[in-house]
Amino acid sequence: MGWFAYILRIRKFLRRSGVEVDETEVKNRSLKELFKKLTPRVLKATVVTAIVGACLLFFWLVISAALEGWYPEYNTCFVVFAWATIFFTFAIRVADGTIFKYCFIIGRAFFLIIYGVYATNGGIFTIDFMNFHFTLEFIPLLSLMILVNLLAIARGMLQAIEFMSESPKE
Amino acid sequence: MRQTIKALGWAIIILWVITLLLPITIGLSLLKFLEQPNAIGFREPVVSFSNGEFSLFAPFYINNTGYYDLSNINITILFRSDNETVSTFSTVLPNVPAGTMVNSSYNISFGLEEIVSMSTDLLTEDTSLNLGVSIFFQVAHVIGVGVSTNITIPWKAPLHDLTISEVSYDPSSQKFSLPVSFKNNAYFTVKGTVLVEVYNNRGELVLSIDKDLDVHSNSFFQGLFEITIDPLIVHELIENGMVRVYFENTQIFEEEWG
Repeated sequence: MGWFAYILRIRKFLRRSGVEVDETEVKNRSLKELFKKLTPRVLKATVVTAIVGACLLFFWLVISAALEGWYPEYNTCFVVFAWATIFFTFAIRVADGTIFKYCFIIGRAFFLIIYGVYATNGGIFTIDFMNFHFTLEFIPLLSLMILVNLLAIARGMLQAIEFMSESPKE
Repeated sequence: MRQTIKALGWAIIILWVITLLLPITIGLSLLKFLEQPNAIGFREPVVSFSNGEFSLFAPFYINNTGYYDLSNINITILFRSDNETVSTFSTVLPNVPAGTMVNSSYNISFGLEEIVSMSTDLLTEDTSLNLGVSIFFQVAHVIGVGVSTNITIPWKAPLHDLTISEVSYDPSSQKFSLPVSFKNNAYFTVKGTVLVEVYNNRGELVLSIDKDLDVHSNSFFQGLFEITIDPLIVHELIENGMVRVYFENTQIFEEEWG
């Protein structure tokens, strides 16, 4: 349930109960409730994001030394991927229980499609090593990755529709 | 709706697992295939040059010990002369299923005209050839791997140092003689017909002599091309003329005298 809906519920409950409450008091209470609800969520999101960030850093430390010589654009591509992953992980966790969570899930899938196509040069890698020119073609695999993300977009949309249909209306 | 979302979730998980596991297993399969010493082996190649046709038959085998099939195996060889591609040979080899060994061969054959079009010196001068070699294959019908490189190989001329020594005429026998010599530096036997044409100073064909050759690798050839002709014609030929040498109907040599 979203925190907007939560505030509205509190107000509704107070009105129904016939409790005469001052508007500012309601606002203060709502903010307090909101703060109480958001703080653990943000903390949880921060911890999860930190774990994801640590994994990415570890991956970067292990792989970068090997790939730097072969694939010079690797660092830039990885930095973009890492920051996007960190952003989406945090945003999806914080927005849990709101419609924004699904917007971020859809956004992440879109990003992964565009990033996948761009970073892999459309599924064709070419590397020059000494007198040799290596080519790696993985277009079917990239297509599979795009398909997975399209499915993720569809799932995110269905989840958003379901969420909206279940949310209480003012 | 909930069931659809659940089904989509499972489909996404399964497809992500496949997307991530497939390249890893393909990489392991390739490593397993390449780390064994007899993954690819070549057998004695057969090179021949007869009747104006150069041909190379290179048998080899591929022992696929990996987990996935190797398919669409394509070997392309580009012959280059002065950075210009003169001839391209491309061969698609049969698929090599996982755990099997396939024997195959690479065949190249081209006519004398093609050699001459690269460079006329290729027949008479030892030189080096620029080759662009590229190999492409697909693993598991999904990932394509290609390697290409440029190599320079020594070329040994089959008619090295082709020389026509001084033309002579023997009045007693009325025989016009053209001593022709060369050394077959190539790795193959030269078989074919050599035609020598002699022109007068007006560019008219005066005489032509042909001879069948069979010169083994690293052997010298010294032959006398003789023909009986009219002494009147000889008179103008001794002063000046031109000789053209053809090998299997392709001109390989031209010289004037006088």
